[in-house]
Amino acid sequence: MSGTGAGTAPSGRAPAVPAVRCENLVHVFGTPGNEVAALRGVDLVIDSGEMVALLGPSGAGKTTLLWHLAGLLAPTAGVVEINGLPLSGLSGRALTSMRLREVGLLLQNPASNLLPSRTALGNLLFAQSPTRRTRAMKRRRASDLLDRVGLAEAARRPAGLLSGGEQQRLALAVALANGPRLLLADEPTSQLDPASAADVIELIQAANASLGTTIVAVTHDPEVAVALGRTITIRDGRVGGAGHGGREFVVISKDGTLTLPADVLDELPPGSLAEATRAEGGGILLRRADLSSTDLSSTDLSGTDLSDSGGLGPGGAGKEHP
Amino acid sequence: MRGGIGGIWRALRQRAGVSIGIAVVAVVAAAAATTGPVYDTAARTSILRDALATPTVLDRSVEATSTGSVNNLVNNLTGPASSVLADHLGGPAQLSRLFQPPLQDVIAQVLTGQRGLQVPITWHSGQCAHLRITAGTCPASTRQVMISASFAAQQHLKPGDTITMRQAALSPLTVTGVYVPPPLAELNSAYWLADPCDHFAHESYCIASVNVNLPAPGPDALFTPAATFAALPPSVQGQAAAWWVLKPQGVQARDLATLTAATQAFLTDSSLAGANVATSSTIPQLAARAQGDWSALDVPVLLVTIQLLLLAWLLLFLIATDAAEARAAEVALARLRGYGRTRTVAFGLSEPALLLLFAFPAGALAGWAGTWALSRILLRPGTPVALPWLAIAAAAAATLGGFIAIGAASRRALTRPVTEQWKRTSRDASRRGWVLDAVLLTGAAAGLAELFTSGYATGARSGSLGLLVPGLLGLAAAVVASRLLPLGCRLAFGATRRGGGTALFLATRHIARRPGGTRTTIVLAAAFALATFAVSSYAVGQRNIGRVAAAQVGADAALTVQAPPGQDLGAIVDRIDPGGTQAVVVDQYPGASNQALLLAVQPRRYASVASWLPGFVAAPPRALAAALSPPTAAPVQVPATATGLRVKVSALTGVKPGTVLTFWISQTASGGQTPVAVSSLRDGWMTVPMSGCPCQVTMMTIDGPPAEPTNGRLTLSDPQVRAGGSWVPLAGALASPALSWLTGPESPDPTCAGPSGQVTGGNGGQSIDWKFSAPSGCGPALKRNDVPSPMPAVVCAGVTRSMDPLTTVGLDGHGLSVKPVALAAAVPGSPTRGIVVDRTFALRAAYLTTAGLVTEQVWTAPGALPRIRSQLAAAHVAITSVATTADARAALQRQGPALASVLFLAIAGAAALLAAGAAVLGLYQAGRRRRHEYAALLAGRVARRSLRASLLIEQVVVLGFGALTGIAAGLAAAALVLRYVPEFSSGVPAPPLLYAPPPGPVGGALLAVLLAISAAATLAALAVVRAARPELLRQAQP
Repeated sequence: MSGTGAGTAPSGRAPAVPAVRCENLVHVFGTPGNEVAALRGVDLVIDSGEMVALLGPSGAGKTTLLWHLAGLLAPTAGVVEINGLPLSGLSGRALTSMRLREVGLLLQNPASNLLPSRTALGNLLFAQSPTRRTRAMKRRRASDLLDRVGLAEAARRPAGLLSGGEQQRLALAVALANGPRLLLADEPTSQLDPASAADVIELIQAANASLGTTIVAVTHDPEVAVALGRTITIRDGRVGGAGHGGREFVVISKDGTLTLPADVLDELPPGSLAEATRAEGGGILLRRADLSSTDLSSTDLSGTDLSDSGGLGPGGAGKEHP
Repeated sequence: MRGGIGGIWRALRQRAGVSIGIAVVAVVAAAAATTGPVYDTAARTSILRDALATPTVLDRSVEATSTGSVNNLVNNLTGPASSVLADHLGGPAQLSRLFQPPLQDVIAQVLTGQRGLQVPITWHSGQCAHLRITAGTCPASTRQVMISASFAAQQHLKPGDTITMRQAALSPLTVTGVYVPPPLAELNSAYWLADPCDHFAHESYCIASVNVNLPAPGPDALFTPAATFAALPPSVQGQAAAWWVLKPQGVQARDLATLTAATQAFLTDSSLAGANVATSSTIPQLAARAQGDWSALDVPVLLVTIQLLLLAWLLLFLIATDAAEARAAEVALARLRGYGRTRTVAFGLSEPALLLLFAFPAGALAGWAGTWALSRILLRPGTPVALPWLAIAAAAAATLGGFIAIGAASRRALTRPVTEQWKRTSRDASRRGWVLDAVLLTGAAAGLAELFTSGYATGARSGSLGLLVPGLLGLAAAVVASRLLPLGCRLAFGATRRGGGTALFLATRHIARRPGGTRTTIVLAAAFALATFAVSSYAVGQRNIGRVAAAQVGADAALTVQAPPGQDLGAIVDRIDPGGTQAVVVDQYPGASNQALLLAVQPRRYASVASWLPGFVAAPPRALAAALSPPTAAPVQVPATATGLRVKVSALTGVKPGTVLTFWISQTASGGQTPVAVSSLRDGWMTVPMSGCPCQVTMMTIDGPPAEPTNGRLTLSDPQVRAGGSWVPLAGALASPALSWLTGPESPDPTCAGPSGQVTGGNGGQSIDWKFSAPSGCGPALKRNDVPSPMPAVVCAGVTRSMDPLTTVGLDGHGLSVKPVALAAAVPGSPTRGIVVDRTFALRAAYLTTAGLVTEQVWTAPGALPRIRSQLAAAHVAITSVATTADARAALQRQGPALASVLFLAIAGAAALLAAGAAVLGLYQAGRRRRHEYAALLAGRVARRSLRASLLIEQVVVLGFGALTGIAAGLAAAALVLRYVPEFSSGVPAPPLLYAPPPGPVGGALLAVLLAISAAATLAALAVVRAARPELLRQAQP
């Protein structure tokens, strides 16, 4: 991971064009006078072949970020690049083409990924329909995918008659049908029983391992987060934290702001004062300030990669406005 | 689509409800479009055939006649004329397709040898097959003849005898057979087109009357082969005629232009005129009449078709919108999978497109089949119902319109951003522009203004525009009302929040926030407006058709008859219907002007039998009957056995020599007076021989020398008739003479108003003193006061609106003064120009004979026709035609406007039912999509019955509001428009028509539809709520 990234590229892999790069991504929903900022300047880099879980509370902007990565939304501001291709300048046709070539999308509801009246095989053929492959190639690929997700025997069954787990496995196969380099998954296990969820996680990992597919999954499921390895937490429309190898980090954004984890916010509720000081032996110490007392309760942010530019705010940061 | 037809088929099955809805509506749209041209073509043919079949056979034929040497006529008329007609028609094949083989007739007057009797001799093609031969055989060779039974009896001839003729080439004629002339009824057939009285002069139907002093009728014709004429010398002159009778069953609408042009060209053909051939035909007039009726059909059919097509498209839009929403997630998925715009549109429209492709042929066939079935009932039997290319093109256009409607309905779903689809944002129900509303309101107002300013439709086109107004009004009301329903529900939010229960709370919110409710309201209101108007229009039309038919025919049935010579039809009817409630005699003088038509009736019978419908006349018909027959002096009856009549003249003074006394006799059977001159006036018995009675002495006149006034005085006494060899007094002739006899002019001619006089009774009522004075040229008359003058009459308000006396035309064609006793809006038998008088008086008032001038009819009450007809036949009354109200109604129902009205009713009814079905289906689909919401509410311990009630309230309110809005708009349109929509072809005399929709049929039909909708809505609501279970929450929301 580079830039604002909280991690690094997998070892042994040469730095290359990142699979995903967002720079100061802003998205505002609504109409003039009734606007809601869903993303407030997201900076994010995901290298090719990474598996990333997007975490965060409901309404934080995870799904909006995912839609941006799929080229389904136009940013209000900022840049999104997929495999080095900036999306903002693309026409609708080019975006469609990009989605076809580069992106597979797995939606939250298994049924909503599929045409229920068509067979499992038919769904896979449907997904490949816009490609230039021959029908035989499409069928061969569809059979391979059905084998891979364990649905070879269900090839002729209408998708609507499959179980939830089978549907999500089929949906994963459909998402992978055109060999995308980026697989975006929105709550891939949220409506599945644990066994089915485990199957899906395994299949996602397998896709990453065998095909090198970059995985970005929005999830609330800790199992998924653990399985994917790297986590990015979206809070209040920003990248508020990152995790790797079981460690959690806060992320200082470009404007120096940082979003504290929920457990820290219990200690430092919004509106409270805190004092950031350099800790002995390195690191930054953030302490709640109590102006009526000399005691300051402190929160140790040691080990968190914080720059020292935050806190007081640069010129033009809106200091004069409470 | 790569998924293949199988995949689409499975998807259609998965959404079976909506799929069936789209398919049915699309089929109806194509069928509606097909029906218009198919029905129009078939109805045109039916109208044309009706026009050609209604008049006499002669009217629908082309006639060529020529006079000259009969030997030339036989060979040189029919052949050349046939060729000319065939040329104008486009060839012999066309001629034989459209016309029967020509009928030919050659006739010449020849003289018998011995007595110089003039006898017609004729050849009528096919005569051997059409004359009933009672003895011998049909003549086959030159100079062979067949004679009538009466001629055979008169001349004492039998088969094998010969007749010597003056013309050597004819003499002798050999009698090979004896025939019986055809009965009167048969003369209207397609065979006897020549004047029957040229051929059968001796038959009763050609004898005007056996009235006194008329010449004896001539003999019937001798029928001979054509070869006889060919052998005659050129000096024998005669007349030949040929008729080409149109075959109505062979004529189709497309033939009319050719037929008209060819007939007109035939009539003006110079080669025929050069050959001294006269031509005539009324086919061009019939064609023009049919074309007029067509125009009364074409525009309404077009407008009806367009309106219903628009409604079908609207319905398609409604259902397709639901279908598109149901597929929106799949469309979004396709876009997500990299489908481009074109491919996405193809994918999104593939299912409805397949349904439309199925609907095109299915609808065309259904339209044709429906029209075929409708035509069996409505159109003239045997009318072909084809599927013209125009109909197929119309079905294709309807299908194309369906594609556009579905495309418009799917536009949002196809263009909606994927993310918006997933966010499940919905459009505000009330967010709609006012442009459509303004356009529709303006259109409706403009249509009404056009209708009101143009007044009653004078042309089919302008009148038919009225048919657009209901649709516009309905749509305008629908779009406005659709705004009111969500608004009303929003206003009820507060109240339902505070109280009223969960059901009302949910129902009001669902109605207010669901855009489908607005569409449902629009479609239902528009469909019900059209259906209500169609039902009203049909019911009003049927009632008015019934009124017109009854008024035209006059009674349930009207038999045109001819009484046996010398018998009074009134007496016959009195005999066969002694109760006086089943039959009535009605005499008419058809030669009257267009201003008035005298109907001479038996008043009391007329009151019972004639179709006096509500609104025709204010007073009860029975009261009018009494008013028509005031008391008068009894007629002076001369019995049938009378052979002479005499009266004693005395005290004669002042008359000049050569003055003649004349008795005027009226035959009881036929009316009219016949003068019987007695002799020069003198004192003493004045005697005259009598025959042909029973009769009445109606008048005595005195004719002085020409160019001199007639003045004088005399006494008449002891009137007697000679019967059984002795003179007997003429009973009652001189009773109350001052009241029973009136002086005046002999002639009703108004220029002879000068004569005056005085009559007094003398000798204790046994004699009359008559003092008379008259200018030259006008004889004084002593008239029996057995006819009120002016004659009481019930007069149509169309003739006069004054109660003052007026002069009309009597049964003898002379002027008749009548005095209205009542003004009628219409009278049975002549709705707009009838003048009803007492037949007895009308016959007595006739100056000269009425024989041959009057059309005699017997009208019968409902159910009495079979008995009266058989009894008339038994009384030897010849029945020439029978008209019934039912037939007249059927004929009127086959006129253009009525046919259009039925089409409107049939398709509007189907469209309304479809709209209702679509609305119920739409509500059901909306309910289904809410199953998760209901499941959640059930999980939240909301009672199932509350949900059921909520859905039921929603459905009833939406359906009821739409339906009631439509019904109100339809009734308003009916009230505003119906009187401007032509119900009949122009020229149909009609009584006052009623335009208020009859509440029974209209209310019944609409109630039935409402009940059906309510039942369907209830079942749909129950099904949806039953399917909502808390377990659903574990499944993904569709």
